[in-house]
Amino acid sequence: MAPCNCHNPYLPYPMVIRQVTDEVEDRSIKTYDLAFRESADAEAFRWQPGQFCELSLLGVGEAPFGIASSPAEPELLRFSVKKAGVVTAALHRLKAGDQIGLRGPLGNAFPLELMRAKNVLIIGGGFAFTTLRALIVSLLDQRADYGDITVIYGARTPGLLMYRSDLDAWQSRSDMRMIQTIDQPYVGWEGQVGLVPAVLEQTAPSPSATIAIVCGPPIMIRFTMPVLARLGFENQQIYTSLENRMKCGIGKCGRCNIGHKYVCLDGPVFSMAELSALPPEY
Amino acid sequence: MPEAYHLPSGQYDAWLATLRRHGRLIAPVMREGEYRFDVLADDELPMLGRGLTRRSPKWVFFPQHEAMLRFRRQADDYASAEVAQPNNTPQVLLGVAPCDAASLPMLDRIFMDNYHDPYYAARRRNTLVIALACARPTSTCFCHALGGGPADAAGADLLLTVIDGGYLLETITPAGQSAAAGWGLDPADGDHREQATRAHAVAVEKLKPIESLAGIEAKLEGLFNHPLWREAAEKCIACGTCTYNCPECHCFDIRDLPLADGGERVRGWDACMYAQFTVHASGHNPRPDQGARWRQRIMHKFSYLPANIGLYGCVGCGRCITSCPVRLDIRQVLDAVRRALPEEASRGTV
Repeated sequence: MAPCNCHNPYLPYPMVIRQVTDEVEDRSIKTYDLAFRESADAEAFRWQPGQFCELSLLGVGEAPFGIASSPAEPELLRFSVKKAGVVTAALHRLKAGDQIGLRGPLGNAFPLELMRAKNVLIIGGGFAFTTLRALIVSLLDQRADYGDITVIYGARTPGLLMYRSDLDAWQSRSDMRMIQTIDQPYVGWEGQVGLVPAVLEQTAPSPSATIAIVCGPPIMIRFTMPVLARLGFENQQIYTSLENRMKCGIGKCGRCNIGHKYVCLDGPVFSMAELSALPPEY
Repeated sequence: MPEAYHLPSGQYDAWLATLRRHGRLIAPVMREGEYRFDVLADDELPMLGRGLTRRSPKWVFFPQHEAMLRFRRQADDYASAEVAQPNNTPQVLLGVAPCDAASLPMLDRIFMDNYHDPYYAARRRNTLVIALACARPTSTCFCHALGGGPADAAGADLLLTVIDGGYLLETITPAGQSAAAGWGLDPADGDHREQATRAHAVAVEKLKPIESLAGIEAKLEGLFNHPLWREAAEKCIACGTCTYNCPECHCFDIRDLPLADGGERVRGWDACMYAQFTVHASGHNPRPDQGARWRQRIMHKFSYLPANIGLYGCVGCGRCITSCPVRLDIRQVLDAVRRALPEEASRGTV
């Protein structure tokens, strides 16, 4: 009998890869749909958008990844992995049917309760769209609970936008605003062109009763925050998700802290109000 | 007043035999020229009372390397991963210095709060901790700046004190009480207690007067960007010895180790003093220089841990001072913290 996972937070759930998809045109990101091998594990696994897991390869190691699927998508547990190191390179060699381990869900989640009955502004850039995908699916699943939903998502080229079929489906909905943008004009691209901060400024969403979630590369965050401030957003209305190097994911190994907060336990989701009180160590 | 027993020298050997029946005996001995804690051979006697061991005994609960998972050769067969069973052997840790014992309540919070670490917890549960009151504080000791002292029993199940012709044995925890109740020792009388109290007072007098560090977390508040961190790190060669010998440092790495017939997922000590410790896959490092790493070491011990669990991450044993190859002294850095003016931090050199 498999040892009980419930008492050992370092023991991964055994998983099987159902499907592997190339997510972007330069093949640097692959998306993995996973399934639990034990139905009891699947039953026990409950998560919220914004949380992450450690994906685990025996003999190689572990690395943390945001959960890209929503609990509103039955039977779907999705991760998108950018190749950038030992574990991710090994992950990129795996195919459907291969086995993998998973620890989690870990960390906190996007503030869904706080968003209830409010407008939600989601701003994403590049690869940092994984947990935002989970969030958007959850919001749309309970659409009536929220006000206006606006999503601005940018990448360098059309082929580097993740989750294209989701983006197109959201684009065609009348109960949300989906703005896709690319950095520079591109043959065949008929959508927005411009960097995310510029498109945000032009879109000019109202800060009134709105929660903004901003996830993207540091350079995008740096130039987006002043725009949000100019639009009248306060720090406590703005949330982001951070990544720091981590190992255990459960607040013990001592490397992901920003001041006295641990990204793995207290985060990865932080409000800008919280972050402004912490040292810039991320 | 805690329960106390008298252990005369004449009964010492028999008592050691009783301890060995209780479990594996771990105590200070000389090994390869080093005074250190180790598992004693059946006929081996502990060498008590020779001051601090060079390294702390934290490895008894948190070994430098330990397997967390084991797996067979076909590395893709995830169902084959098994938990490496935490060590459940009952053991007695004898002769722990009060400063080392004082590190345990903090480590307990780290490893057993929130997510329960089964490896650490098993060893804590199965280990009887017998401290020995410190009779020879040295010039690098500063336990008294952190509220500790040579006879402080925090973290220990029992406390021994050398008295004329033997020891006084005080029980501190219920585990210590129930163990001692089965040892057939005579209760201590008033004279034994008085001798121990005198011995404690003599040790306290040997400590150099020092300014208390209580409240230093408030002083650290405004110093994140202060030049003192870079100054502290100037000589540092980032060897990490201070963290390895520290009884409180507990940062670790997790790595997969291939073996001939399979492999292990191993946890091993790691250190904030290493450049690689926080480097991202992208190459970005939130702590890009040794000053930032020194700041993390001090802030973690004296600001972040007090904020999170109300305990300092330092017991004042002084091992980081005595073992530093470039003679960096944490007391001097803490003095610089005390003297620092927050407005200098605004210039931001780190």
